[in-house]
Amino acid sequence: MRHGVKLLSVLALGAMVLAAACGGTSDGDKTKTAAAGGATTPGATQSAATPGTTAAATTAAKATTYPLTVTDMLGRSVTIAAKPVAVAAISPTTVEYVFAVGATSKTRSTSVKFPDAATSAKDIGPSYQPNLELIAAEKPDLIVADSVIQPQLLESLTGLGVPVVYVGAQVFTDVPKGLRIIGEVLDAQAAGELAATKLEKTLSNLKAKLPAEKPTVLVLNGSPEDFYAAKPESYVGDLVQLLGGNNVAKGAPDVGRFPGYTKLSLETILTSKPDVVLSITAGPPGGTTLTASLSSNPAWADVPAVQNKRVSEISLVIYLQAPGPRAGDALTELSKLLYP
Amino acid sequence: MRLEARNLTAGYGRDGFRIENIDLVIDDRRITGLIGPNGAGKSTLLRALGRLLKPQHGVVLLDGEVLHQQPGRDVAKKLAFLGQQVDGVPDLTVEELVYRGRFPHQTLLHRDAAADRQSVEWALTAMQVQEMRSRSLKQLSHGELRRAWTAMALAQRPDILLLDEPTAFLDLAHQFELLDLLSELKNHGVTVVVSMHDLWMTAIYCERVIAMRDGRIIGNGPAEEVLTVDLIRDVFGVEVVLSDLPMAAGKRGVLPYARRHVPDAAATTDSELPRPVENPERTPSPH
Amino acid sequence: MSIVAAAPRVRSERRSTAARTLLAWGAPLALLALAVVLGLSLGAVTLSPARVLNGLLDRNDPLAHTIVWDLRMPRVLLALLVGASLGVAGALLQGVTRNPLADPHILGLTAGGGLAASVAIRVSQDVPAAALAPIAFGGALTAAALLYGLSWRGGVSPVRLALSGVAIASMLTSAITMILVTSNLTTQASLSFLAGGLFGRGWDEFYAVWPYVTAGLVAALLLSRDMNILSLGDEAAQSLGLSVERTRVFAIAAAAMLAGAAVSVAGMVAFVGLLIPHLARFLTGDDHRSLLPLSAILGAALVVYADLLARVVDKPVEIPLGIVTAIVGAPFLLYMVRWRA
Repeated sequence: MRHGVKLLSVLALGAMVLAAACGGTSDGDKTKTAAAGGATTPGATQSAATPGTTAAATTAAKATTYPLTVTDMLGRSVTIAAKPVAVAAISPTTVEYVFAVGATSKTRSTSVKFPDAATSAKDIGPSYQPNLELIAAEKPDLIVADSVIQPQLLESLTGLGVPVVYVGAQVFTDVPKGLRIIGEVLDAQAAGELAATKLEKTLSNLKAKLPAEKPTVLVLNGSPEDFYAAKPESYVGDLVQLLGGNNVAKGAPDVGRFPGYTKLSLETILTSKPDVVLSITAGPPGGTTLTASLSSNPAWADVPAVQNKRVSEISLVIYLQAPGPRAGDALTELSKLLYP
Repeated sequence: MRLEARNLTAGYGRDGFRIENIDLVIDDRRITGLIGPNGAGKSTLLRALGRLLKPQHGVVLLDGEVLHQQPGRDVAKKLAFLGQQVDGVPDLTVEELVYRGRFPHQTLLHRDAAADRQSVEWALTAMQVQEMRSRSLKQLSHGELRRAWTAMALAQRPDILLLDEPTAFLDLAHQFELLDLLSELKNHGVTVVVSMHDLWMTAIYCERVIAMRDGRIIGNGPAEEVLTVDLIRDVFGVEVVLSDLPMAAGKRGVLPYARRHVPDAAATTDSELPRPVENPERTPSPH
Repeated sequence: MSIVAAAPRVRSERRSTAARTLLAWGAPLALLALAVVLGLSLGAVTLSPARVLNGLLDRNDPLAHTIVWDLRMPRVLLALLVGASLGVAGALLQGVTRNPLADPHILGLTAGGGLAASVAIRVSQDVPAAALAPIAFGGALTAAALLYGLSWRGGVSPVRLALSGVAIASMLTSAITMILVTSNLTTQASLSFLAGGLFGRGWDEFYAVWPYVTAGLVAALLLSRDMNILSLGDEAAQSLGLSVERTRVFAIAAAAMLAGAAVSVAGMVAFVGLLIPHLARFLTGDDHRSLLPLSAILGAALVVYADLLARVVDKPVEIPLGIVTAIVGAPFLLYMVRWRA
């Protein structure tokens, strides 16, 4: 009995963490502002506006011919009969993809606050358990699901009788790929291509200017009591790696619930002497951030990043909950934190 | 219907208690009493004879066939065992319980409803529980419960009835009633084997007596031959007085007593004790 | 039941009158029917009764058809199967162990099924529903075999059975917890159903699981007479000619099949297997011929209602079904224990 209850609570806790991670809570804003205060403001409006305005100017853009068969990011072959007019994107990342190519989603996950236009879309619940009835009620002719956090929903979604395209962002290169797929699927190839190229250009521009001296970086995610280090295999770890950062957690085994994250002992951290610590605090809004907690912890006093005040809070939303089209802003912000 | 044991050894586990090398034949259509102190092996013997306990050596034969090789239900139609029911009380009415005694006669597809009803009514009446047929077993006294269980065994309509201390928990009147019923059953051709604690009742009701001690049979025969002062002293370690019963011709009462109840008994020898029956052999055996 | 009804009555103490019988069967059946109607009518999207009917009959209302027929119907049917399975599995196990606290959850059968399912999902994320049901059944059966084997000492006593069950359950549950906490996010998402829930379950799962449930229920019904005899105690059952150990093995295997089927679609739903047999026994007494079917009906009704609550209470978010059954079931069980026992 007691064990059953215990298991249930563990599972419930797991589900809650999942909800928090994938966008079940409303703390997205808070962390974003915290991040914005810490460093550069993520150029939110910029990336949302760009595709729309420039799409018309690009004359070379091809129109999509339907029926269209695409390979999505789960490697599935999906056939779409006609140009979708009612799109249901069902995770923070996929909502951003759809809006980034100038289209509109009729649905959104509860936590989605970006872009502004998305907030008026129908709230269909947390991304780990989107409400299937509410999705159906929007009568979508295309469902855009998240290939990173929603593969387990494949059967349920295809059961709705609507084509389902999976896109996501596990690493940086997924983002231009996803933009191009969504651009093609929604007959907005120009906008998709433009947004993708812009991202790639942002990266190459930043890479070209990188100094020879590369910092040692530690990226943490969690609460002050329990945190994990991002490995290069994670989304934020990938961005850091692309910018030349030497990741302290490189090569460590996966530990904890997030793929691409690991647990490092304090000894490992102290001996690796990170120059920069980036922290993503997951927890109730208004609580102590990882940054504040580390900076005041005597055990961390000898860490170079702490001594040189190079511990920064970065956005939970952009780096964890909704990786995707805002990768350009993320890269720009990270490059400033790594190379001030 | 002949029940016998040949070179029977049965018990619990490798080193646990067991009865050893038992040879016996249960007399047909008689009441056989099984006596002995606690731990003598009475229940073990009854369980082995009732197919509940598998022999370690030797066999139990029912009409010449090995009991433990026959299907349980076939045996249950001929032979009923009623234990001491220490497993708890199911949430049933008396009638529902007695109906379950019909189980061996029913199969998934076939049942004779008339025969079932008749046997159940007979068993209820015989055990005088028909008045409480709709009562829950949980509401019954020990004695009433005992009678209800016995009625269930009767509903099996067995030729041989094995009962493990059926008079336990019964008041005096119901003890007599139960034993009278067993006599009645015997007259209808049922063989009864019953383990008893009360030597007086044993002497009155049982025609045959098997006396046991330490897993072995000490005496087996007509009641008058087995229930002797010496044997009872040997088996139980108590003294008895044997006395003729004027109200029951041919029966002899057995009255146990402790030595300390007799003045100077500790000092006297057995032969000096008062013996109302001067010569036990005087009474003619019914057999 | 029929036998009892035919008997001449001196005085009816309980459950004997026709009215009582009608109530014992009619009320649960009505409750179940209402549960099914509500389960099809209510959800995150509000549909008028006319549209629900249109959706059910597929009459020119594709949206209603999708919602009622493709989303709600399989869930209601699965809830029905899960509830019936757990109710009957609980009744079988309580009969076998003669312990009113026995149920597939407490004796570790669901944990066995859950562990097998989580290992399978851990190894390969895309285990199809059709494979998950037999896998969970295998796990539950293994747990049952372990239970029986560890309780065996020249025969299996009900007390040993219950105690070994508790030990096995906590062992297997810990193993699941370990798999869960060491799994990454995506695996955890796939395993989240273990908390008990029918989120995203559809016709595929229904087709995968109904043969197991049907087989388990039929086996249980065929065993009901033997279960009646077993409930008299081992000694009495043996002397009535029942093959006690064989009956126990069959009953536990049937319970494992039902529990495994339930786990494979709904995860570990607590309290149903424990609570429902008590409720059924209260209505009909200790006769397994009515106890088992009544447990199926009541269990089905409870889980359909619980799933409905899980879907609508905090829509669009779903509450885990196991939590709803625990919240509804626990006080009810306390009531039964405190005031009915």
